[in-house]
Amino acid sequence: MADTLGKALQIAAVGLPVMIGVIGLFILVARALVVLFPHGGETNGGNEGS
Amino acid sequence: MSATLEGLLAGIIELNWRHGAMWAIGFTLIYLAVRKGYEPLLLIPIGFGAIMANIPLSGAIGEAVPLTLLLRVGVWTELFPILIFVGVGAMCDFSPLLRNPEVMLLGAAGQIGIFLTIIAASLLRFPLTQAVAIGILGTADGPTTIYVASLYAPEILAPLALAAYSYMALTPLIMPPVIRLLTTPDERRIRMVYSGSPEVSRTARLLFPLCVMMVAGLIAPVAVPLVGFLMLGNFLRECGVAERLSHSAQNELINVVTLLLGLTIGGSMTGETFLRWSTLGVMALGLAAMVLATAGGIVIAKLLNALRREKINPMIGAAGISAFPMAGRVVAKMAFAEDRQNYLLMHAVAVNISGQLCSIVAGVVVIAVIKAIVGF
Repeated sequence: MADTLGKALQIAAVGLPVMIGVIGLFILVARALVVLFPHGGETNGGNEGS
Repeated sequence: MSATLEGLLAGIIELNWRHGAMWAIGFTLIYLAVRKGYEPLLLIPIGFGAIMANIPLSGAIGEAVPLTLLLRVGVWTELFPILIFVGVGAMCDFSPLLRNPEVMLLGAAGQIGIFLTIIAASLLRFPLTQAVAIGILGTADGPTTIYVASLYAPEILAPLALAAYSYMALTPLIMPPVIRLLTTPDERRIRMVYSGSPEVSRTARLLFPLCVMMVAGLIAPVAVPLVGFLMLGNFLRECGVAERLSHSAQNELINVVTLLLGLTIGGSMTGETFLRWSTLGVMALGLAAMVLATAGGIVIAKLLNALRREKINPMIGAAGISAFPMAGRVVAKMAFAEDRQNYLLMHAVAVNISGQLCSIVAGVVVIAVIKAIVGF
């Protein structure tokens, strides 16, 4: 049991910061996309704003 | 003559208490779905499958018969959950996330329950693989739970799937007491203005699913199907040139696969494998995972408030679990009940959508971390 618990704690200790890091990366990606491709900066119309 | 009679009555002769108990569970699931409206699309096929599989000498289970084949082809290969992700992706509008990406922090907070539950399951002497699969219940995300369970703990797939979908259906009962316990009436009355802008360009909406798939795939190549199929569905929705595919993914595909998945899970609920003490443990830990996930979102929202000048209503942190749209609606309803002028729905739904994405990210990260630490 001690081995399983140790591994579980290790998964939590590594997994939690990694998950927050990945989400942080996604936040940056989202911010960059909105800044690089602002609304109204396109010409094709498409389903803009839908 | 007596042999013929015995052959004809074989099904009745073989009946035992386990069959009766599983029929009762099957009928209960069908009753909850039909009379109470709890996740009917899934609980009806699960209930039917459970009854079919527990008729003595049932031809639905065994070697090379329908339910067993569906289990091998659709669940053990993870095919059904990832096909459902195409539909889920096609239903998701990530625009609120792109407008206000910080809500993803609350979505991430909603996943804290996963790691706490993995530790709790280990303390209760579940093997590590099962503890991980049980922990994923903290995402409140059925397909992710089934995907991870198929990878690590197929032997407890049925109770895990049942716990995931039951607790999602029970979100309106599980969340409010946790929210009330962790927030003051003043906090629940905090109003938030919804500006609605800026609009997000089509290019940004198109590139977002591609970027997320590539970033997540590079971190955890083994989980590419999980994120890739979700983002494919979202791309079909946003591209504007594949309406038929997007529509099919949101309707026919997800409906057919949900039916088959439910039947298969029900079919795997035989008395011998389901009626164990470990099933009760899985159900109890699943509930704990949901409570911890709800609490995690609220606590992080309160911590964010300590750093922000413009306060957020900490209840929206509770919407960071993946149960969509129930979690968002519960929070909005509670805010409205506290203050008839407080409309939190758009904020809560944005956090809820981020919870959907974050639950899958959490699944991806857990798979990657286990591969790195344990090596499988």
